[in-house]
Amino acid sequence: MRYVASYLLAALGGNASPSAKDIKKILDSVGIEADDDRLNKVISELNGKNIEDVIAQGIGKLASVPAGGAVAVSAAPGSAAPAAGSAPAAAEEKKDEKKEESEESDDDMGFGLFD
Amino acid sequence: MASISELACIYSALILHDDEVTVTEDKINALIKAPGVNVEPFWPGLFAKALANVNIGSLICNVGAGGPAPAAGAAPA
Repeated sequence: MRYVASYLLAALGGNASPSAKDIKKILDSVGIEADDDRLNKVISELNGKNIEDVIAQGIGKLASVPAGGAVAVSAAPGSAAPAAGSAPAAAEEKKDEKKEESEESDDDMGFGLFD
Repeated sequence: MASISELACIYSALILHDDEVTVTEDKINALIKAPGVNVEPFWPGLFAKALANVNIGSLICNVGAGGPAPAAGAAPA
């Protein structure tokens, strides 16, 4: 989740296509570690996409997802971030057990939301 | 729709929560300074206070029903 949130934060700062370096800088500011594989995966999925569109699509999909979907503290625009982030976050837990399995679930769950 | 300042604080809070770091005003400030987002100075403090007594994880999980109520409860506090 942190990668998606950092990516969105970087985009808010006016950087339409944040790089891995930008995101690491953000996470480093509070001493949070960044896992390169996950980071690059999130960037490659979100790069080049208009973030407003992604969020709009995500909201539509969220409406059909039962309680399992994750949503932010405030209103709509923040929702797509945790929604996208919840899948990689869930995959992160699985990653400790089986890396291959988590990559598959990333493809199925995480970025299925953006299809 | 949340303003850019609010969104910046929200994303910052989510990043901190994801790493189980306490959401404080200083941390939020550090996070919004890194990408250079322009945020009115009162927001980080407001968010830190509002989220101090809130379980962010449960907020995230209780999307629809729980959403407006805790938000309304946190704001006056």
